[in-house]
Amino acid sequence: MAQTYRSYRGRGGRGGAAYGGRAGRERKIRRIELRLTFCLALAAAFSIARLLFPAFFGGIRDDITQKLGMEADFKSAAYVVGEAIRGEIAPGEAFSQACSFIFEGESGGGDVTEVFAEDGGESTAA
Amino acid sequence: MRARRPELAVTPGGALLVAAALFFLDDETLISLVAAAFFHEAGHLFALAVLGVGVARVRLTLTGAEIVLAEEAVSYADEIVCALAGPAFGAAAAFLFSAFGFYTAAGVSAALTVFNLLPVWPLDGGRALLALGRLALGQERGEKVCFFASLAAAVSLAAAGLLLRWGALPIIFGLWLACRTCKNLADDVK
Repeated sequence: MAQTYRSYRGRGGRGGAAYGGRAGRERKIRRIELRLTFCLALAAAFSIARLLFPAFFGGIRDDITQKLGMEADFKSAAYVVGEAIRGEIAPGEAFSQACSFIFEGESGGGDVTEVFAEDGGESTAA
Repeated sequence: MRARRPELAVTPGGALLVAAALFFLDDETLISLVAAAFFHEAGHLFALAVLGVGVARVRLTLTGAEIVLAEEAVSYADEIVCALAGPAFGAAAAFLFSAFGFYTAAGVSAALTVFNLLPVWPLDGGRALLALGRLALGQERGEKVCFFASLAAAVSLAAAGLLLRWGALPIIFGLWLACRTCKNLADDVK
């Protein structure tokens, strides 16, 4: 028994929340609060940067997405799917175009504006 | 008795999700995503309100909004209805957005609906499958079927992402879903 006994001070010293010590719990809460504060500050900083310097922020975003290899054009893919829901494009064609936008990036599915203009409509999304 | 207002909370992961969305998405996609998520969660909350199930907490986590029920257990039929109400509202929203010419919002809403209908446990499709399995096959067999279906779907998603070069997103989601499924099983075993 003596080998497995842990004194009150010992449990406190270990401090992990898994050991049930009050200090551990408090430390865990403090860690979560710290992480929350950091992430909220990050979100606030991005919001302010978007509002105040949209062009500069957009440039940084494009650079980073390019470096990360995230060339998928989800916006155009979503736009094509939206058109298919309304029945302006056949579902099969919309699916294939959406796949091209996602897997081949911005150049993959062609220009949404052109596709839509051929039908006689107007569109701002490209 | 007056129902208690649900507590609203943001986890560090939820704040990180907001930060990532603010960083990576342009204005139109961001607004579309918020609108699609709003309709989706409104579907769940509407179903819960109609069925008289109390909501204790609505939390924004790394994986999106999470609704914590006030009651410990609801019937399997109610669970199926509540789980599928979100995607149903999402699909309706997709048609509504499309009808008004908001094609990006319609597409985002449709994608969110399809993703949530995957038969993987933490998602709505998985929750409905689990309740259906328990109802039809009994608790133990139903859970087993749901676990294997969840794991198969999650691993398939990750493998498809890897083999077909769909990019990092399906691989990350697939692996995360597989981890959640295994963690759920481990919790049950404990």
